Amino acid sequence: MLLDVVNVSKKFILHECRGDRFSNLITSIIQAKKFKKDRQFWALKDVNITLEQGKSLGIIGKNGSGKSTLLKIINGTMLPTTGFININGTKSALIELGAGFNPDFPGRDNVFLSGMIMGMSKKEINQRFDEIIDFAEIKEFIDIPVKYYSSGMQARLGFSVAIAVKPDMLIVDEVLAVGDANFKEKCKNKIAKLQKEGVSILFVSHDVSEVSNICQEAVWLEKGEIMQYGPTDEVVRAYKEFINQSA
Amino acid sequence: MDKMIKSKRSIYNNIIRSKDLLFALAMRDVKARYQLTILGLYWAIINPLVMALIMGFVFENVFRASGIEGIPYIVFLFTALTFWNLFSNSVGSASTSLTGQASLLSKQYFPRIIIPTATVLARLVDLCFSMIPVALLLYIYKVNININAWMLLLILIIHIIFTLGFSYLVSALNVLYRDVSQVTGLLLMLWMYLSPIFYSISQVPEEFRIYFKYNAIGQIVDMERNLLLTGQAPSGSDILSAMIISLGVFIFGYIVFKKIEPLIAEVL
Repeated sequence: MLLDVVNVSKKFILHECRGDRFSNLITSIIQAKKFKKDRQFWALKDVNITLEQGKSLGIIGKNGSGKSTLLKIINGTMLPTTGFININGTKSALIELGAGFNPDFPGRDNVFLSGMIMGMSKKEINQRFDEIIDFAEIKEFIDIPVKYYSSGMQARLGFSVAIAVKPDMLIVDEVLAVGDANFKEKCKNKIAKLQKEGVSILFVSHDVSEVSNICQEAVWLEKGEIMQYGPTDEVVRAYKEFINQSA
Repeated sequence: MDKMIKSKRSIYNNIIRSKDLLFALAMRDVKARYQLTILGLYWAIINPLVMALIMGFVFENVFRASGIEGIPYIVFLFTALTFWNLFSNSVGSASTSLTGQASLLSKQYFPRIIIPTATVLARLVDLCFSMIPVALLLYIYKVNININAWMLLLILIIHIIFTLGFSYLVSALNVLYRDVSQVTGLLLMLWMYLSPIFYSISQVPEEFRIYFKYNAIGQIVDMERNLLLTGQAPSGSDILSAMIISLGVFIFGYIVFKKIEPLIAEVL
């Protein structure tokens, strides 16, 4: 299996503000009051997912259903409270394209730095450099500081670097919503091409029709729990009905 | 079998990548400081030199301070200040290193400890640049470097270990409470005056000298200055105690960092 998500739950502790814990401690000592308990919130409850290499999975659900939390846990930037995930292969994420670029530095420096953050070595980036700037279509601007790029150019460069990792699994978070129509089209084509080459896509979107286009399987999350998990058509149909009923 | 080879290779690859990322982040840090300035890297030399000239003038002529016998006060002060700055500037910039790079951290998991480590590495590059005005002063005031100065490298390693440990500690704690970076600035200033920088340990009254033994970074800076200016080698027991305290600080800082690391994504 490429991806195993096993019994994953995530608990958040909500502080009213950052200093709360500390000032609570102080006031509770002074006034001999009971330590005010922090509010808890389960963003994910016992989520199980498996994904075969080459298949693509869509994650749908309303705002606050736990989609982003699940994505962060799969991407490794957040740890689950209980359960674990197992990934047999490399991954790359299209999240906040272009964020993390340093605006004062030229595109070239930013390609190297963000490439390394995405997990490539310097040597690998050197080998794939032409490929990256060709796809981003910014060859003549590569030595200009990124702050002079349009937001579309930044997004293209971010996309280009992320796919240069040549991942087994590509995590896509709503990014296709940014950029102009041309770029969107290009990204979609590229994603379709990667799928043909055997790359799995993990796709999070509000746009249910996009999910149907890209993914064979889908997960519908509601309040951190899996409502339905299976072939995309069925899950999407059930989700649409649910939305219509509650509207 | 196949899988074992693959995992061995991937550990090796991970180390290569981490190393590349560490150097790239450090280089970016160094470059970013001077990117939009006309004089660029010269600021790494001009800044401390102007500070030292003013302080040297005030302390030598107004307060009548003196350092080591036979060494001009400005050389005495500037040398110590240069070494102190490696610690002070590292900790100062490490304290906001994680909180200032939230967007990098959201992209992909990589060992977060690379970030404060890169800041310290960047300040080490600064130290190399500020050795230029030190050398200049030594030349102008005709201070000869003693053969013992090679031991400086050993002390410098202890210095870096102490600095890394402290940087890990404040960078991680600042994720939880932003007050930490404010406190760090204040603490570093107090610490500087309580360390043998404007004076040497031998000038401290006997009854206070015992406290200076616990100030490992002060001891280290004093050793470094003595080695460079007079060639006076530190005693083995001084080196050993500095080394033990530094390793202790390093391990403590590392453990605290590792404890806080999983919380970074949730808090930032």
